[in-house]
Amino acid sequence: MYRLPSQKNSDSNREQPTAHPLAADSIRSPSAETINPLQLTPSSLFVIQRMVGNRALSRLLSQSNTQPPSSLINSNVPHSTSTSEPVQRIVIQKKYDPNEVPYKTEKSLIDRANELYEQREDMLDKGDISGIYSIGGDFEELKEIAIANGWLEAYDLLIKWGEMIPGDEEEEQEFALYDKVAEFEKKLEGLNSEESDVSEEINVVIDELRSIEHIAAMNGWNHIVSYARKVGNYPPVVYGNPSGETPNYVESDTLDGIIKNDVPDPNEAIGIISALESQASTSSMKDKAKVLNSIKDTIDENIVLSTKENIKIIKSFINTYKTAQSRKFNFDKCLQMLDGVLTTGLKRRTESPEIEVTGEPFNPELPEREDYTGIHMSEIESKYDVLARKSGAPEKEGALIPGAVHEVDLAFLDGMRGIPNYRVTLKEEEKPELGGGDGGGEKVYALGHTGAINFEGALSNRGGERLYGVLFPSGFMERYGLDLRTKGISGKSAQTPVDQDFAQGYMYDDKEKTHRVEIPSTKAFAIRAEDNTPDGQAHIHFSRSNMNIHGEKMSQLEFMRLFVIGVVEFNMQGFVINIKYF
Amino acid sequence: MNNKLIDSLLHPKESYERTQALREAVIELQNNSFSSPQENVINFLRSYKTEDQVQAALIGILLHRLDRSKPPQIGVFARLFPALQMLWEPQIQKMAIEIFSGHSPKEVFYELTDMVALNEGSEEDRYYAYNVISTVDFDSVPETM
Repeated sequence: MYRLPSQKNSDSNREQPTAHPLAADSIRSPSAETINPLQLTPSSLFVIQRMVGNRALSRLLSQSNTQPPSSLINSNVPHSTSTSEPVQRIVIQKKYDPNEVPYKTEKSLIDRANELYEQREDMLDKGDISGIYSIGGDFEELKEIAIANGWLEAYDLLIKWGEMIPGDEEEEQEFALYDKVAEFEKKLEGLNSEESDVSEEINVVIDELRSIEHIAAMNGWNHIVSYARKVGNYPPVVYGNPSGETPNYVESDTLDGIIKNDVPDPNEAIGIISALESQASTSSMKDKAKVLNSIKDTIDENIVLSTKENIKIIKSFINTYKTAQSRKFNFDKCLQMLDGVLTTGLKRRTESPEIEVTGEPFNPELPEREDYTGIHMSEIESKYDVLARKSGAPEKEGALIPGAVHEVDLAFLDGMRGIPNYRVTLKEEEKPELGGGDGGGEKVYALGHTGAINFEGALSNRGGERLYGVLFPSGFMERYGLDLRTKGISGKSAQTPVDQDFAQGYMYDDKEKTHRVEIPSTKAFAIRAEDNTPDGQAHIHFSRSNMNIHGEKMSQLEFMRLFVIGVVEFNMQGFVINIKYF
Repeated sequence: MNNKLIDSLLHPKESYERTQALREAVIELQNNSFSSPQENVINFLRSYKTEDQVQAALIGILLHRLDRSKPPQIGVFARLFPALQMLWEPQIQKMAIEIFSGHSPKEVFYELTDMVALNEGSEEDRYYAYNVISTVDFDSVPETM
């Protein structure tokens, strides 16, 4: 069946129709797409029929053994090449311009479909088939947009007008589920939640919606998941990839709480200090008071747990005490161990140079918060600066990681504010297991949705791809982003500056240190460019913890999250599937 | 090890490029276990410090393979320790478990704590040891594999 990349069930091995490159993938790539039009095997017949319709197919078949008509040869776009070549090729130019998306409503999409249908019929009436592949591609594109937005009326019309093969069993199930949600939506509208005698009925409907959501999540039908949540208005659920027939899941608020609490318990550290003080006062080791006081001061200073380094100091302190207890060390040895570990922690805290960010603090005016669901990202980007990412399903070597939560779902958690620095796996008993795999790494976001859609990185394109965008106030990138897109020695992008470079205010882009790049102290993060991200990509370093921004100490991650306004998930056509403001 | 790979390891344009180069180096060293990378690469692997747990684990695997048949050193354990729970990197996790085979993670955790507390071992090994004892919960460390 035909499925959006963002809706793919990543553990599915089902064959995808080869018509995809004409529609979805032509959007992905800015270059022209090339296809083989007339290799008339049964499967290619299916593809062509699906794409151009039965009437056009019969016309093609009747002409497949003859020279193409002159109109076809002379046509600029698209056209088939000479029949003397072993394989005929048709070049379809990409027409997609994200800045000019006309389909913001179902009606506008239907209008466009009507227009295309009439064009195609007119062409066929005149015996001119030069444009039918292009129109076929347009139909596929419209169909994707319709299904992504849940515009079923438009989708049904497109199938009818495209004279395509009816949907398979799975597709029918998908539509049946969608219809069911629509039915429940009407039912809820009819129930007055103020009346106590209907509350039980409402709860039954909500339970039904939750169960529909689970089925949809298992199949990767995100638009149904979003729709069910919207209708049911219950706390969102986070799913791990299904390891069996039933997916593991947890309410997002619960997962958020668990992640937020993944810091050492300050009371545990305070308790250890009390125990040490108690032992010191009752033993003959009063001479250790100086060491103990020093330990106590360090704990007092870091117990706020406001930075990553604070957390590490407290955690290593608690761990060291526990190892000493476990190995039955005496008081003297225990104190020595704790002192040694804290000394290392304090040294590490000041090891990386402080990066000071100066200048006028950024106080933007924010636009009114609107529901952009179903609206194109270009609309959002006219109001916000957007950092976007494409992320594959959490899998390796073709094997799905059982219970692993998708990065996009993590991005929606309050604690992550669009920038997930945790990996989460839901175990059989639905207990989340946290992994800080990106804890010391770096996350790279494209500036704008097209950079994410076009991103070709292997890890982002290994199946189960989903896209999300993080909303910042308009002007944020310009104010704090260090634009390195053309500052490299070759005239292309410069490399990523390290902490030391930011701290000293310059870097060299070459090993020989001949090409110096200035780093003004008003800048807080780097914006580079790669082939897939000509508009730029922002680099967020999770280990860049020693920053002083307008006089306030924080990490780069904390700084970025401070300005995040919301997060959206969007599809490969750039339409918003889900939105959340923080 | 070709020049492009070495360049990506030593002078990457971004962190991701270095991670990919390390992954390639692990595969290369597995397929051609009798050849060693150049001295500058070995020096880099021994001295490079990172909080990126994936990079650290890959370096740990490479250092272990460079030692050939020797038992794993404490510095290798320090770099690999977080990979024991790296569910989202099953290949790295598998290699880490293989290298830890026959060793008690709890005992290794004790050793890493001692290194930090008593200032033992090389500076680089201590760096990774501190990363472990300041991020992993002692209570979650198993006695045996």
